[in-house]
Amino acid sequence: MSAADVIASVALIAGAAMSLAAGIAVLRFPDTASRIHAATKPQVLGVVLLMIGLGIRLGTVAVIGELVLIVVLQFLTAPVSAHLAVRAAHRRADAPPTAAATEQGGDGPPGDDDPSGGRIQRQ
Amino acid sequence: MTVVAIIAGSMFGLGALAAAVRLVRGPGPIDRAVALDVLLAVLVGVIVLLAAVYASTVTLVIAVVVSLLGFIGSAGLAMLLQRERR
Repeated sequence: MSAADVIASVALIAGAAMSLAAGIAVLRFPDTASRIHAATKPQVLGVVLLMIGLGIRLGTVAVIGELVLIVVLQFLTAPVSAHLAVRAAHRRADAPPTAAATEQGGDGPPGDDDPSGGRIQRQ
Repeated sequence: MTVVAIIAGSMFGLGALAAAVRLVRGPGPIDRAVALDVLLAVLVGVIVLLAAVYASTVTLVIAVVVSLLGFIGSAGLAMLLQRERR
């Protein structure tokens, strides 16, 4: 097993670990915004690590061109889809209050003096 | 490479399982859309891992198509869901 194989293996396992972290975070995190936050980062970093591993292992020009294409597409599309998901969640306002929303004055348990019940208000 | 395939494959499997549990349970439709996005990212990872294990490049086109379809799916779902208000 050469040094390149070792580097490729480490990169592949690290990319898989990013996917595992994304799955656990989507399962365990408390509200929609933090789930979207945790789900988007491994889509970029995990894919980049996997592509580095595969590029080192195969290493021909055609393969590396295709890998760069996949990485560029992920870079372009992952932030856009995350932004759209967060905007939809915010406009629907059926998500539990986020940290940014509670900072603006909705402290304490919902229902005391807050007619919105701690929910995010649309204008 | 077999050991790498076993370790990384089990990580992908556990991540996909967790995302699938959130897909079934998730309180809102946005949570389900996000879980589907994670499942598609895991699918791209599995395709790339298989290409690395078998040292074959034929499946890489499928990875491109799946990542683009995932973007179209989640973006369309988000734009559809934000229009429907309660």
